[in-house]
Amino acid sequence: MIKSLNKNKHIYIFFSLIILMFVVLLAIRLGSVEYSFSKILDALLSTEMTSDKNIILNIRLPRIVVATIVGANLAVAGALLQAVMQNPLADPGLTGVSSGASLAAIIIMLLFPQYTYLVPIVAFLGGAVACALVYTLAWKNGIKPVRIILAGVAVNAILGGGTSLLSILYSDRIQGVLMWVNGSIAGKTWEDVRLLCTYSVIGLIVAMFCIRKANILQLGDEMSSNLGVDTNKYRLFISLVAVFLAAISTSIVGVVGFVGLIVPHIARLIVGSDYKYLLPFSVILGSGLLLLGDTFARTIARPIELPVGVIMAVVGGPFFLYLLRRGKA
Amino acid sequence: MIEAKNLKIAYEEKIVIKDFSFNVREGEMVSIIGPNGSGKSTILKTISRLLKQKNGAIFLEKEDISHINIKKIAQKMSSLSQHNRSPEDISVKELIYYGRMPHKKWYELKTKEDEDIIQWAIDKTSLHGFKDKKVIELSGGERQRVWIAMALAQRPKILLLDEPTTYLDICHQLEVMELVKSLNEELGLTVIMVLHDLGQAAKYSHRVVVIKDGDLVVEGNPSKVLTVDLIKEVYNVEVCIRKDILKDEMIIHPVGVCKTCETRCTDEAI
Repeated sequence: MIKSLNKNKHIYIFFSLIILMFVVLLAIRLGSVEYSFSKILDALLSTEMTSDKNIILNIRLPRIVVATIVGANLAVAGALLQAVMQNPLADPGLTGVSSGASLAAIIIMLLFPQYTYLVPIVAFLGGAVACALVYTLAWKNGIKPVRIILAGVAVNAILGGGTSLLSILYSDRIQGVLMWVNGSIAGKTWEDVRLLCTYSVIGLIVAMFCIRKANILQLGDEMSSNLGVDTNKYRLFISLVAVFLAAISTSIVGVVGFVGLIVPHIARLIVGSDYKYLLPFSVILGSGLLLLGDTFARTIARPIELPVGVIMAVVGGPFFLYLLRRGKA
Repeated sequence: MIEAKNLKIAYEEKIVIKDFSFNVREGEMVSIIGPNGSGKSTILKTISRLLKQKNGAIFLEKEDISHINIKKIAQKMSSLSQHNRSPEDISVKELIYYGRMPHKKWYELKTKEDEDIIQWAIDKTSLHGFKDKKVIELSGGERQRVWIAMALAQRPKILLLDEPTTYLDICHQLEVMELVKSLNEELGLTVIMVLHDLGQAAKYSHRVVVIKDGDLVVEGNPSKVLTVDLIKEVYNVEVCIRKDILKDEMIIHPVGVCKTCETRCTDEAI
């Protein structure tokens, strides 16, 4: 019976991969210019650089790759933090990563616009510092999930206040910042892909080594400790991996909410709470969802492109409520 | 096997245990009893390293527990708390497998030996019919057996149980206690448990340790230690104790809270 259940899980993962590939094809097709599949093939196979080939190869593809990787990173970060906090409502944003990155990025973009090229690295550092602050405040004879959550809420409020203050003081320059704060994958290049890929691959591989650790933490602190586990060490290590994944994503595309919250949740409903299946499934589901969201974001109000973060919040929020109402979540 | 020396335990500033010492021999079954808030669970939690003592030390096979790697401890000692929770969709067999974790390095996969030990734990706890069921589908007593099976998969020498029969109906209570007793007899497992039910403590332990307000009142063989006067002193409850000579067992009947009760039973034996 268990064997067959696990077989089902493999089937779910297989089918979700097929759906992901379908979404990728859809994302190549749709946009301000729409291509048929034969046209896409023609453009890609042609030896000279036509404008179609340029659009597909240098505008759409990097964007698609960025969306899939960011989706995967955020989903995995969320799933890992849910194990750390022992709370299904944990979200990467809770650790201060997004608000720290936002404030740092906004300071650069508004006060020192000449250094805008530094935004990714500064945002990454901002996220890391904010998160370190949350964990330091939460530390008292070890880490207790409740204290991380409370410290996270407090730090988020303070940093969010700073962000709002700057936005008001410099409201004349706010236009470009708004896209970043709401998470936008527009205009990503192969350079962004290279940067994101390098670090994400490392992060995702290390994340797969957290599978057993996360599973044990799910049994609760007392049981983990009975099984010879130093829960503080496990929590710190898993948090570090999750925050790294979230920070690297945020530094490239800005703040994208809800993916880290709903994807692990949906994944849990479908493949269960064993991280051996939950993590890989979250990777695929996160990729697919963010890519779908981004494809929406750039087609729904053509020619205006919306930030994908807005789409995720508008669609993700109600969907999350639906899950709650169903009572299984 | 396990020795506690001059334990002083406090939650923040509030001292719960002032100075507690005891020694548990190999193969012994010891119950810690006492009223609510007496500190009996606190002692057990300190032995299982969930709480840190302010003073004193605990020795596991003559070695100070605070100097032993916690994974090493988990290979020798297993503890089950009152509430054990598991993910909703985990199966009995999968849960028991977690008991193998103290014996595995982080990169090691499930081996044939693990499989054999899981099977052995299932045999010992008579969980054959349940091994592929989800833990959440089981009754409270069956679930408690699964947790004990998981503890067995650790291959411990010592088992710590914090009120293993709370929340169970009378049949399941006895089932769990009989299981623990058989593990003690067949495997020589040393058992230290916190119990509420005096009858069970008397029936299933070689020795009882009675605690009141953080102090050791008395310890020893239940039939000698558990007297009408002691129970009155510790619990403020009037009881009537009968001895079942055929089974060499004590039966403890509560009669009433001391202030209100007038009756005392007279028959000492039936």
